[in-house]
Amino acid sequence: MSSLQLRGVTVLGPSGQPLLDAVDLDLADGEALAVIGPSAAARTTLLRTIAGLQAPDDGEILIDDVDVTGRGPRQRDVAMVFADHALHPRRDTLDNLTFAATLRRRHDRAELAERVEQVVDELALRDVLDLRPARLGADQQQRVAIGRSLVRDANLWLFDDPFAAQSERVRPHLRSVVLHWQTERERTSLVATSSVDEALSLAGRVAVLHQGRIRQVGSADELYEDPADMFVAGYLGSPPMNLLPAFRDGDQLVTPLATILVDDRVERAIGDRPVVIAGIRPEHCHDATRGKVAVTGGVEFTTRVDDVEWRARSQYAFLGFDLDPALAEVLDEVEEMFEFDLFQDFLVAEVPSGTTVRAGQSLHVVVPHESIMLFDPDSGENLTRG
Amino acid sequence: MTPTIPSVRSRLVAALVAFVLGFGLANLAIFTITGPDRVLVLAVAGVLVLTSAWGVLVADSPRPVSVWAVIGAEAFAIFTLVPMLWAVALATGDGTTPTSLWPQAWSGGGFADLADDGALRSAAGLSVSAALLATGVAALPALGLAALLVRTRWRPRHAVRTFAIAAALLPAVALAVGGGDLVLRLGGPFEDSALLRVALVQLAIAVPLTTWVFTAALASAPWNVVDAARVVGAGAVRVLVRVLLPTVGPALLVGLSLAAVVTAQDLALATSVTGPQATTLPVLLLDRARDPSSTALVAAAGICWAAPVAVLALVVPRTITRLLGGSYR
Repeated sequence: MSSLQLRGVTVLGPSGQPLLDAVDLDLADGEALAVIGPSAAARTTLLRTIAGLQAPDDGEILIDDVDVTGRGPRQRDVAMVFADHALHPRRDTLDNLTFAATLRRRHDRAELAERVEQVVDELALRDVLDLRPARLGADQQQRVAIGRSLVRDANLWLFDDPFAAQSERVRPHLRSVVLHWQTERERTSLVATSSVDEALSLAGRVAVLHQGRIRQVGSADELYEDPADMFVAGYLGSPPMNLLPAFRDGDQLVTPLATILVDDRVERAIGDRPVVIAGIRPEHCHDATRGKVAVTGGVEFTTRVDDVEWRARSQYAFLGFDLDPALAEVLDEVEEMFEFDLFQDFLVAEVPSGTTVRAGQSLHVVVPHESIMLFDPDSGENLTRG
Repeated sequence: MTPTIPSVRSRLVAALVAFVLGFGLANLAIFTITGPDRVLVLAVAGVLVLTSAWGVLVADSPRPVSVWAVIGAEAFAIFTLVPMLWAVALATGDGTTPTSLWPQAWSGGGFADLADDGALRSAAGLSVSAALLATGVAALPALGLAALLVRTRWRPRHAVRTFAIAAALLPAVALAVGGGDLVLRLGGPFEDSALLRVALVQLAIAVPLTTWVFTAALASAPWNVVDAARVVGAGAVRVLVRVLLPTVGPALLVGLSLAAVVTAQDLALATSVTGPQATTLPVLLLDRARDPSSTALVAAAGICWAAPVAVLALVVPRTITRLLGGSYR
């Protein structure tokens, strides 16, 4: 087991732009943390820096409270699954599985053989043991790469998009295998992934990395229910949070679809800002077309359904709206600042699958007042954060 | 990349051209050429006519094959093989001018005299030794420079690689006077040793060429595997032995051989630092070629001298193509 701390780690890109910008992270012994974010380059840079393959331009990396910033990978006892698998092209699967372990001078052959046997069975690699990487599919290559790291059995495991090449059917099994190895051996691990679902299933805590900075670290619930800023709110969730511009007009906040009453909570949140961004989760948009819903004092509006997307247990109704061109320009600037596509010209409402909703019909929506979040358009800060 | 399928019209025109060429050659062979060469020309005409027939058959096929490309390949083979056949006819003849492309005598000719000619043997020895020495000396700085170009974000790396390629393509004759003069002025061991003089001046070819091919070789190295090995704690020696040598070693070896073979072909630089007492094989062959009585010997020596190039091209064509910066795949 090893603890890991990052203190203000900064890594600059080729043209001087920060790939990592004063990143702080804390992992306790045996803890699993997932790092999610849209930039694969930033995620990979973070893992490579922790592994010692890339020197930070600033900051410190501590493993077990020992500063390893200036030390090479050899002194860090790390196993890493690379996003591009990094398999030895001239060695077969079996040799690749044992490659990492045999590169170190002292290794117990019997123990290694036992671990290889276990990995081969759990990752379904027995049929390809004598094949070289060029003859393996991308999914098999990735399983070999995962297997190599599990066999290596280091104190700190780093996973860079470890299941990206796997089919949807296989992913849960692989995740459970990795999770099992990790918890059984109480290894500290850091998983970098673009998949929010994957992050949530592999780690107790999740860190959101964007524009080189850690936006928020917390449990999945914390991140989802209480996002620190507009990016975290718009990045997590499928479909993500609806973000609408809202103008202050007396004791009302006017959005393209509805008007929100400015009560004490909203008043405190918006202060003297003339414009804020209102955030509404799709599951908080209740369909009240055919009857009352148990929501008091909610924000109500009726609009036309543009499209409906069916899911097994629910369906998503897409409710389009028009945006004033000047307002659209402001939103474009916000997106530019975040370098991320946050805004749409429709609102997504999650409707139970039993309800008949068709494109073209009207939908009466009620949103609980307290579930609406408000964000500062300049900084992205969550103004309603508890 | 999706292969382009030539049009029916293009294939039919190519087939017509192949037929006209074949028909013309066949008539030429029948009416104007005698002896064994008639069979050779008729064989070439036959290949062209068959190409024409095949071109008509595949004209409407969806296969991505170009009849023009096939004709081009045949023309390339003919224009390469004819001078080689003539060189073989000269080398195997009895010293008189051959009357046919097809070797007549098979008496051993110039090949029989090769082993007895001491000057040729020593010139070949000097050429090979100097080329190996120059390439060997060039290999180390070239490997370092190639690693710098491939593995770092050193700003002028693209300019340096372009310079290396340009220097490798520079006509050696442009450096001959200046380079030769500098080496001759050095004195010391260079004054007494033709080997050192030739090797030193041939560094002008060997250094840029080895840098060029080593850069290509290192660029294709599995650096991600190197990183993976480093992460698990492998030291520099282990990374070299377990990862780099098995993966890049063969390409580096081929690159080194290619550089040595090309360096050994140098004529201009070696001429500037050698004299009648000790010279390299290309210089000696050029000198002997002016003497009609040595034609068979020079032709035989030339064929032997070309053999390493042919061997490299036949054994490792893909590696050579990759090292020189392109691939036909």
